[in-house]
Amino acid sequence: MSTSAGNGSPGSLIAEARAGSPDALSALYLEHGAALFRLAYRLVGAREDAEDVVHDVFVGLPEALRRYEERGSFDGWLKRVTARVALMRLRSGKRRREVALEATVPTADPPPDPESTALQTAVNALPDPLRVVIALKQIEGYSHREVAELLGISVGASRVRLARALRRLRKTLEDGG
Amino acid sequence: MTWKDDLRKLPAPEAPDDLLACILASRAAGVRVVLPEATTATGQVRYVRYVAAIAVLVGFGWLALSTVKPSPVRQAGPSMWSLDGMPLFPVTVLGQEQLVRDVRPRYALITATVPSDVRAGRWTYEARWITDDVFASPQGQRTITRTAASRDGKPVWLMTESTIPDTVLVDQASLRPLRYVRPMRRHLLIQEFGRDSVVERFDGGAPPNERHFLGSAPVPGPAGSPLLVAWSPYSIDALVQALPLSRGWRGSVYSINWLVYSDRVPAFTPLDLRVTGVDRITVPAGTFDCWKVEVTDGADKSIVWVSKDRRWVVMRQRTWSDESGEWRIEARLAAVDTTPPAP
Repeated sequence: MSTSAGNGSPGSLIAEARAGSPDALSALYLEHGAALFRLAYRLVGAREDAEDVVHDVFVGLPEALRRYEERGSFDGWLKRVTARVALMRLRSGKRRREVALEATVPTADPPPDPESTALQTAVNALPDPLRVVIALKQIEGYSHREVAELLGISVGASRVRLARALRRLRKTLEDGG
Repeated sequence: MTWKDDLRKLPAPEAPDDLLACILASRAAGVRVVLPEATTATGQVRYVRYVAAIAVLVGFGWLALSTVKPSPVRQAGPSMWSLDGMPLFPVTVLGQEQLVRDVRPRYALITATVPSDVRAGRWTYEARWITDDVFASPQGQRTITRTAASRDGKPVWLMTESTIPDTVLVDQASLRPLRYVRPMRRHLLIQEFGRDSVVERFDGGAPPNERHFLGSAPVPGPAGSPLLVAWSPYSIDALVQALPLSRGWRGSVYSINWLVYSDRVPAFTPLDLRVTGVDRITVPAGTFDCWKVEVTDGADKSIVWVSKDRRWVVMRQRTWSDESGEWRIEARLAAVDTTPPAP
């Protein structure tokens, strides 16, 4: 990591970001921003909302770090905070699903393969409570206990939702989308 | 490999290049966000359950009381007269139930503008109510006029609207209001703007209920940055002509309410603007390629479509909904005359 903040070690960066250093905040963004953006996108389902989530997380990070006790991995803590902000956005109904608009933006990426597109479409079509469990458990690799903690549900409920989500996905894919 | 494994490989877009710059700009502008705790949720769930149980009990109590005492008539959605047929009226002033205090700008305050892009002209809009996406009710036309004038030797924009007898003088160089005059049937409100403060005079009422108010307030934000007049729906139209809109662009601007009501409504509320996409839309005045701009005013949200070429406001929409239905008010550009109006 290239940064002018402190000596670049995670502990030093966190301490300096906690004190409000823009350089340290930038360094943390460069290290974690991309992964957090992907996590937020998978939870809220729209690029603009994911931008808002990551924007809010990093704008609020220096103050939030004052409550961070440096137990466990910083990466895991940051992801949990991001997931909570994204879930709050989902619950507040603030997000937009502007798939049609996003589709109008030209992109230099190669076109996705049809199977991946069908899978993405099927995931997007899931109701939020199921889609969120798929994103956290199946895509991001959280355990059922972690998913349950993030969503405020029981571990059993997390398992049930995952099973329902997978069943729906399978049916959608078998039916041809 | 199964489709379940493929789930992990689903593509996700990259964060935009300017997101870090937006974050740093927001911090520099004083924006702060309180993040949730990343702790276990079991205690929180229990707490939520207690609160929900109490809420249910209170609800039952209220239900019992309301069967004894008739409840007042409840109005569905904001009244038409208060909206005056034009979206983007300040919701914060419409009802105290939507009042939000100490709202901070969500994005960095707008400082980079191109004031020379603002042009004189007349823009006529036709407004309509749409209920449940089906029933449309025409609400007449409004014409916004922007005329070049001068005040104390400085070039200014004189802005008026056809159905509201008020005027705003805006400094052409900074796009800050210099004077706002709002005559009403029995009242007169005048706001005079200095470099970093505003003085307001409000007179009116018939004897013996005359009312006079003289107040002042410092204007938030950097001196010389744009400022909107909340009660003037055309105030934002001039600003967007000067904005360097592009995909992902965002910025906040303060708008001023009436100081005389500052005990109930904040004197200044931020409007947060953000480009959320592009659209080609057809209105009576023609077909336009537009930036779709989300305008957030506290808890309220409007969408404004701004033409990409000359940055005219082509259409604006606001939507409300509750358990009984959804309402949308929409203003569409019906005609444009960019011949400079006579001063």
